[in-house]
Amino acid sequence: MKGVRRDPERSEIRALLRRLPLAGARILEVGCGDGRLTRRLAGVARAVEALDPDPEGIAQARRLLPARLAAKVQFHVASGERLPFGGGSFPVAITSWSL
Amino acid sequence: MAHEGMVHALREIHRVLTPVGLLADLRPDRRLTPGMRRRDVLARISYRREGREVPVGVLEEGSFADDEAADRAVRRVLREGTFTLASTETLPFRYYFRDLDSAEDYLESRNTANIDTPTRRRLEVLARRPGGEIVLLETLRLNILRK
Repeated sequence: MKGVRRDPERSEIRALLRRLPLAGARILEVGCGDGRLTRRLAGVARAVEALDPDPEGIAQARRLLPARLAAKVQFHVASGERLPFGGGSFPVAITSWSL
Repeated sequence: MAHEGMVHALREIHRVLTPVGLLADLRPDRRLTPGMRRRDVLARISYRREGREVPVGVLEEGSFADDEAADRAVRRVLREGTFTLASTETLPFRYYFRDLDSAEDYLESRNTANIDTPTRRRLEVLARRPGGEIVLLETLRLNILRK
């Protein structure tokens, strides 16, 4: 969205980095919206599986993802109530503003 | 997402986590926003220009139903032993808007809160001089749940 900067201080990702072993991990993000946090997670993680039930949100997240991070991120149109992954797949999961 | 859906999502996340996996639950926490006593306050609004921030007002939230349902869902999975609470903390989250239209467009997209008329008028006066930004300060709560 134009004309808005969200968390330029990076408070959110800093807090997550303090509490979670994100570096080099494969991370599940449930409810990624337009991918604001996904992009920051992808900067530190090995891989991010990001999902949201809203196809428009996922389309926007895909558009906004920088090319340098594209290999790290997979977006899925899916609900948190039915995760398209096998058991024991992730060391870390994140619900940011989505629960 | 309704309460039962949230509980189900938490159980699904539990399923896909490794045996020592962690879940971060990050959400707005109005109860602890500094300087605020009212539960219906979503964020503090100020105007920032040349490094100075002037308090302008507050942003009121219309409905707490989703947040209360999320709190209940988390309490339920903790009670059931699906997860244990490893830590909880709060953190500031700031938005910077170029102008009032940008702020109102964004809030409209969230569909939960509005800038009240007196606050809007104060912002209009402050924004007559260029070079400033509208700042929204929201407090988030980060719960870390351990499988």
